[in-house]
Amino acid sequence: MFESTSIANDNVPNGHDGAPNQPQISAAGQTILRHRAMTERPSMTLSSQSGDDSYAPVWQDLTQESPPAKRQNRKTGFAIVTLLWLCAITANVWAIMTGPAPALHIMLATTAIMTSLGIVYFAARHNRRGLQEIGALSAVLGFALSLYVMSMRFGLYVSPLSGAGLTAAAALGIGALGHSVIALRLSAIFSIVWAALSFGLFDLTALGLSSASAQTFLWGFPALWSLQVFCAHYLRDGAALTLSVFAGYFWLIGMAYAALDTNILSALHVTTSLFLIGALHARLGKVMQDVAAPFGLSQTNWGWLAMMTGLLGVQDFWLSPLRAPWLGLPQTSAAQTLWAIGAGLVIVAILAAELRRVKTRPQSLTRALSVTLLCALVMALAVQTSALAGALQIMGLNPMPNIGLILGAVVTALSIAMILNGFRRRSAFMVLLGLAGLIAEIVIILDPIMQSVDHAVLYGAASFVFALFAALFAGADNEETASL
Amino acid sequence: MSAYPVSALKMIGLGLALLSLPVLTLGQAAYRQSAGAPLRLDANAQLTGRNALVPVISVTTPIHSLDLTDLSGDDYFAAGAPAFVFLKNGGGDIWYPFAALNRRPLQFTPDPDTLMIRGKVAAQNETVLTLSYDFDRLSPPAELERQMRVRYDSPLQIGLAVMPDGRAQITDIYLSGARFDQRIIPNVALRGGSKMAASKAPPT
Repeated sequence: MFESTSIANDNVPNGHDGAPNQPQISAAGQTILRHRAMTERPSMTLSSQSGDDSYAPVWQDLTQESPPAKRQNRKTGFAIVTLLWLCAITANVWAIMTGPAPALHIMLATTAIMTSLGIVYFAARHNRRGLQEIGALSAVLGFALSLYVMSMRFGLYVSPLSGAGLTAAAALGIGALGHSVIALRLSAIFSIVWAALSFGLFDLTALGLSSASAQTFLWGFPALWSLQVFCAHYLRDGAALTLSVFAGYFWLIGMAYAALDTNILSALHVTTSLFLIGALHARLGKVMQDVAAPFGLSQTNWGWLAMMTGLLGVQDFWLSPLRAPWLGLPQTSAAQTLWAIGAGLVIVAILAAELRRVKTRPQSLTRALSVTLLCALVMALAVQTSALAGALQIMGLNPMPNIGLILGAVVTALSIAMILNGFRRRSAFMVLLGLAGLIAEIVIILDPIMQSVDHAVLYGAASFVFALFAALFAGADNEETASL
Repeated sequence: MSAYPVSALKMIGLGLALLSLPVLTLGQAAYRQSAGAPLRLDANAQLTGRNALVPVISVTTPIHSLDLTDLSGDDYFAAGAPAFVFLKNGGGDIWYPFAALNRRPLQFTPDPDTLMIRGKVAAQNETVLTLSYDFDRLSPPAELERQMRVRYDSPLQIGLAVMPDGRAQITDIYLSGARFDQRIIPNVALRGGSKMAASKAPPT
């Protein structure tokens, strides 16, 4: 069996046995090539090179170069599908304007879906990128139209909530299988609409937010979102990824607001959650940058924004805990335990990302553990708020606002580091993010440091120390990178 | 872009999946409308969601709110759980509830005078049980919407088709005696038959 394969492998175009320019293939590589040659669906055909003196069959790739008859068939198919697609669009415009029989109307809508998918397929085959995207767009619109016709013409009520969710899922399918970035972006936009309707932001809850749709939303949105992120990364589309990230944070904030509104979680826990998730997002973005994955920097920046927003919230709690929305911790012990488990898992994920960076960056183990420890400390401030405050008071230290001032120093150091990093990388967005963090910090910290010189001294000294730490870490990393 | 080409097989599968939603939904509704036992109930209907893309009617019938002291069956219902309401024909189009159960009976065969409708418990306030049904909301045809806006206080009835498992689907809406067909597949045979019968009836 292998004998015949080796003969086939000898038929290299213009090649001879033992040719000096042939690439060296390991034994394992040869085994894999033999296995693939015998088991995989042949996408190539054996043909002979005309004009050669000796018999020298070559592997001809069908995907690259098709026989003229086949190419002609494809062109004819493309032309027919394009014609059908144009007819379907015209017929749907006519149907919307005139309102024919319901059965005819739904048939026209579904025809638009099928012909649009045909356009996506043929346009992709013919490398017509623009037409492929238009086809995908019309497929998504056709699906939304079919839902509309079901509601309007058949009386089967499809709520805007369900409609948005279903269209988001359909657009995701079209984007993923049809390799369309427009459909993927539409999927993310419809997800945001779905989330907005579910949270009742547009005051449309009376239009169909039943407990069943709420339950579907609870599990459906994360599932859809994770697929969107995967597909956006797979299709290398930054806009779709950014929209998906926005949708994800929108969902998180909405869920957090719902938990806050129903007294399941306190405001401190919500802001700490935002900090931890933002930190995880930023660290994963760093890992993506290390392995040269696309959009790693933008993910780091968005994660940094979420992390700093959460950290500013936590800081504000420790500066003035008797002010709204921090007043009281209205949560059950079960909710607190569940939150602690969830937050602990995020910390573990941050640790995993940091340990991965020990290999990919490479960074020191000390730095990996330090970053994780800092995040764990912020989590501990939310889990054991009363115990920590009590312990510090026994030690003669006033936890409020001292912890708030120290957290403010962390925010300041991180913002300055972000600004400097932005200048180094020549990224205006990073500089803006750093400036925004610094300005927000000044707004929050100004009142406490004006109250007492001690506060100003503590904040200034802590900022200096944390800035030094940041510089030390950066310097150590640069040395490690340079030594490689 | 991706290294993998768009697959014809996957696109066909996607197309079938996208088609399956309207086809299966309409098919299921059409089957229920044709196979279910007919039932007509008085109703209050309100046009809601005027700002939405499609107009929506919110339907309330006497069986949406039941006093358990008047009914046999169970006394305690959990919110969100299914409930089964049994109706008896009192002659003509008059149907009244006589029992409510919190689980589906093992042996129940609907007959022309007895029906079971499946609902969902919205709330129970002591002895008053509030339920929701599959037919709570519908999108009215344009003419019905217009008529409802004009005759908002006129008597209204809904025609339902009730399946043996208790699931119900709206088939008709009667507003001031005028019938508005809500069937997926219009009942043309019945309409044609009545016309033929009318034309062949002896003059009075």
